[in-house]
Amino acid sequence: MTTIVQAIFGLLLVLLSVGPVGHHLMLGTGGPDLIIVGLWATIWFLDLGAGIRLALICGILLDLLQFSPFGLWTLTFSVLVFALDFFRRRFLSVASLPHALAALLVMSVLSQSLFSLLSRQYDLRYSLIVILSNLILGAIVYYAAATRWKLFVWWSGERL
Amino acid sequence: MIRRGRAGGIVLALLVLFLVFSQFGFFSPVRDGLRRSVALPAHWVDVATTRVIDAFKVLFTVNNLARENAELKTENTELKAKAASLEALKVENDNLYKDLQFKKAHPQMRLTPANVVGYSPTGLYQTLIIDRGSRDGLKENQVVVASGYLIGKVGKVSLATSEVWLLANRNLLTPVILAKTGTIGLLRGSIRGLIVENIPLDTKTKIGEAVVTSSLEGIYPAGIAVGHVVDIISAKEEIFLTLRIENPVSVGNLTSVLIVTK
Repeated sequence: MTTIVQAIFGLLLVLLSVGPVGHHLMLGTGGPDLIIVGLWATIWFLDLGAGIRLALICGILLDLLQFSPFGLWTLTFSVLVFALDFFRRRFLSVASLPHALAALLVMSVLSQSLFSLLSRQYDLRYSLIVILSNLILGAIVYYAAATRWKLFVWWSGERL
Repeated sequence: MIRRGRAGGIVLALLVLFLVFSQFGFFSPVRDGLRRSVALPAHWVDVATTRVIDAFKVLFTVNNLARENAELKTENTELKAKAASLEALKVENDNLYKDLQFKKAHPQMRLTPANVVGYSPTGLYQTLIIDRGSRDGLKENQVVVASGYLIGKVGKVSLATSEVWLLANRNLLTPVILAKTGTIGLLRGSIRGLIVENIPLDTKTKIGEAVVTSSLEGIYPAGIAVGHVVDIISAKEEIFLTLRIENPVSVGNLTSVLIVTK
């Protein structure tokens, strides 16, 4: 994925998250965190470099749009990306859906914990809804990406 | 030749006789019988012919029906879109009407309208961003209302935009009064929703009681509607009552708000 495509993708993710569309994705009190799912998908299907670029793009955009201390979002997303890459390389297999969803679960839990600490807002029900929504969206994204790019065949070759 | 002439004469005479007698209804039963016996086969032929003609007609009109159906579908889709847009206008109209009623009810307040331009990317922050800032006279801690109800206060302010902390934001404590009993409490967001704490045990509050702002801290003007009581959630052994209240404004659907600038 070229940098320009990633920039456009990151811009779309941020606009969907902070705009009315992203807000209307909320199921009652919570909904999928599009940026987190986007970062997970990039790390999982591409590599750390692409993930870092997307984290920087989304982070800087959010830092510019939001009123939180500048750099907070960029730092948060970077930490999440490195954490996910660490888990992916050490413990998980890219070709496995359960492993992919486990990685997304870890990333979602970490992101919710970080956001709660930074915002000093604790809402367990909201966090659980976000994590569950992320997993559902992640499963859809996994199958869509794996089917589109015939990754099942590629992964089989990699295992062989 | 003579025999032919004789036969012709007889036939002619018979015809004349038939003509004369038929005027008197003499041959009516015969004629009726003939007509009935011919009618049924004629009806069968008529039905069969009509069916054949109708079958050919359908073939020729199918094309017209398909075109008319497509036109009607397009018109239906356009009308549905118009109806949806009118519905949205109606909601906006209702909200603006409520804002107008709020302004009429509080003529002493100076209200600045603002559009909601963004939300927090995570619902944990409970904030939204509006398109008014310090150059429009906004300052921190100014009250923000929508549809006649308090929804929060201005947090951080920049030149052209500001951040609004919503009532559910855990960092926000709002002094409120129960409208009927006059009891003062503190409103804050929690995992259970919006709750009002520090209500004395002997307060006779009821479900549905209105809750309005208190001017206790000097931040909020008194009397702005906040919501109504939906539940008493404190345990029996607690020394203060805790009430859960509901704010009827749907923050996710907000497109414009009013800021009390003075």
